[in-house]
Order: sequence, then C-alpha cells, then structure tokens
Amino acid sequence: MNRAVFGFRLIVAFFTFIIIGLFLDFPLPEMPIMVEVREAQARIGRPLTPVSVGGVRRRTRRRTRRRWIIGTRMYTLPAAYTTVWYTGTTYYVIEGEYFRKYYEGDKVVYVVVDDPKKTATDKGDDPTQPESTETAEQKLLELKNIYDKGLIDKEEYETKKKEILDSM
Amino acid sequence: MFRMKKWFFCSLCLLLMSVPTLSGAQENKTSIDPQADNILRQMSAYLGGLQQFTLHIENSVDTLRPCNQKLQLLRAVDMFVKRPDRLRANIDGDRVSQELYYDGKSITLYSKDVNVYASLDAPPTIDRAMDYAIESYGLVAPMVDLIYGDSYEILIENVQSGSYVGLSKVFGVECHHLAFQEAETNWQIWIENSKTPLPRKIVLTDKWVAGAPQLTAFLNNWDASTPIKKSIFSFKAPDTAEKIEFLPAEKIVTYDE
Repeated sequence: MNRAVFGFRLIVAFFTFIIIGLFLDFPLPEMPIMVEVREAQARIGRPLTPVSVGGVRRRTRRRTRRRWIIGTRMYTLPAAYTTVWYTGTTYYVIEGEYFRKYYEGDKVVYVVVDDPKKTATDKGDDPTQPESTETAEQKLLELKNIYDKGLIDKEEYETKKKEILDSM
Repeated sequence: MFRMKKWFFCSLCLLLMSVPTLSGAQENKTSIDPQADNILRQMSAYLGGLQQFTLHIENSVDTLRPCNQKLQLLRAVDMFVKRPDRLRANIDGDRVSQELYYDGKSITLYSKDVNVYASLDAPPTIDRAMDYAIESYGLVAPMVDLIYGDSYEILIENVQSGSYVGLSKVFGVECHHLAFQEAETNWQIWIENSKTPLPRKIVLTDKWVAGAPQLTAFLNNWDASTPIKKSIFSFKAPDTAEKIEFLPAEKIVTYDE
C-alpha cells in the first residue's frame, strides 16, 4: 500500500476518534497526581498539609460540632428521650438537644430546634431586638406570598402592609 | 478506487457521529393510541362533571428494605368529594391513621395515632387548594390526580406513549385496560366499560428503582348520588390533640452524620 495514503488514513482515523470521543465523552487518560507524604511529620496537632492528615481536622471539627444541627429531621426518635412541655408544645430531649413534631407532607417528623426556654430568655434579655428590620421584611414577603396565592384580597393586603410598615 | 474508499470511510464517520442525535430525537416523540386517549378523556370528563362523589380505595405500596426484601404496606381510604370546595379523606393503614379535611377555607390533617393536627389557610377551590398544599407543603391527598376538575391534563402531562391493552374484569366489572409510559414511571388504569366511565384500578410502577416498587389501588363503592352530610367536612379538634405546624416544602435539611 502507498505510504502517503496509509498516513492520510491514520490521520483521518485519529481525528475521527477525537471527534467521536468529544461527542460520546470518552474518558481521556489523565496524568496521575503525585503526592509526597512523609509519614514521620504527620503528627497530631501538626498537619503536614492544610487538608486532613491523620484526621486532625476532622476530629477537631467533630468535637466542637453539635450532635445534631438545627433543622435535622428524623422519622423516629432514638429510644432514650425525655418529654418536656413548654407553652403548649411537646418537646423531646435527647442528649441535651430539643426535638419538636412537625408535618413533612403527611408524615410526622421530629425536627431539632433551639432550646425553647433559652431562646425565650434570650429575647427577654435583649430589648434592642436587632432582628426587627429582618422580621418586618420577612413579614412583608410572607404577606406578598399570601396575596399572590389569592388567600387575601387587595384591600386586606394593603391594610396589613401599612400596619407592618408603620410598626417599623 | 482509493477515492471511493475514502468517501465510504468519511460517510461512515459522519454516520457514527450522528447516531446519538438520531436516537435522542426518537426518544422525545410521544405516541398515544387514540383509543386509549379517548377513553381517558371520557373518564376525566365524567369525573370532572360529578358534583359530588364518595369512594373507597384499597391500595398497597411496595417498600424496599435495605436487604432488598419487598414489603407491601396496605392502606384503605374513604374519600368524600363535593365540588367545588369540600374534601374529606379517612386514611387507615399500616403505620398511618389520618383524617384530611378541606372546607373551602383551610386544609387540616389530623393524625389519630400520634394525636396531632395541623391546619393551613387554603385557596377557595379544591383544584387550587390541592396545588397549594402540594407546592408549598408537599402535602398530597390520596389519589389527588383524580380529584382535579380536569384530571386528563394532569395524567397525560408527562406521558411518552400509551396503548390500549384490552377488556378486563376488575371485581366483576368489565373495564378497558390502558397502559402508559413515562420517563420515570409506567402506569396502568382500568376504566369501567359503561355509561359511567369510572376508574376501577390503578397500578403505578417506579421503573428505574431497584426492585421496581409498585403502587396498586382498587377504587370501589363509587357513589355519586347519596347526599353527603355537611358535618363530614368540618374538623373539630379533640381536647387531647396537640396542634403542630407544617414544614414548608422547600426547606429541606438532610441528616448528615
């Protein structure tokens, strides 16, 4: 076979492979990333790299983190809990965390909330109420939402909006 | 000779490259058997035209345990619908015992087993109230697709293909058996072959979930004539029941531990 023709075919075949590869998303060979780890220096409290070596970062984070973050939902409560009633609501206390019942769709879920007594006293101690502008904004947004859904008419919307704005 | 081979080679490459686009175009086509489409439309028109109806639903839902064992959970539902603004459902089954109320002003869900209830202010018609509950709180009434005034629109929305299977008997009632395919699910419906084209059975299959879990529902005791008492639609909270709230649908925090 003619060498030039063979070479031409080889080039065509190569580019075809690349183009089809782009379309079909072939995995291209990647250069392996070389990481040099000197084990002797991977001591507790002195990580070799900013990322976790010997699990230092992970461990410290776990120590400071709460058992469950606020808003965590569970479908069943762990076996050991105590029940607390506070302003007509039942709270379930597990390892110092407060759970409260909510509906998620049609399922009853237990949601991690702040300590109800603590939040109540916090608000009482702080008369400046730094969140007041935010709550007004939230109220207005919620009102707008209710109005958009057709739950209240225009007149009710306007009067309520004025009330919120006056209270600012 | 070489030139011909070259052309052949090039056209082969082009063909290979165009394969994904060709197959993609075919997937988007919908093909619904006109007979099946027609029967579904008739059912929707008849259901939508009913001023009131009650029915009893017996359904089973497959749940998969981590060891891949399939369990069937049973549920019986009594439904009371009065257009345009009343709905009541008594749900009684494995791990659930609930009552759902809609009285034109609010939607209330009462869980008997946990003894809690929650209420939502809702729009003034069934269709809009159901949309609101689903979109804002993820609260889905049982067999909600059939309650809407125009159920055809909702059922056919994501259908890619539909076919007419044949005549079949459900609890002795002769029905048209229809089968539809969607991207994620397949569903079958049995519609009564008479002047009252009511749905008698529904099967829903989750195609791509391992084990292909199904929901099967038998819809019995249809009654569109006996008057429904007004008191059925109003909820009175028992003294011992605790009032809770619905979580908004968009705020989802997953359990990360």
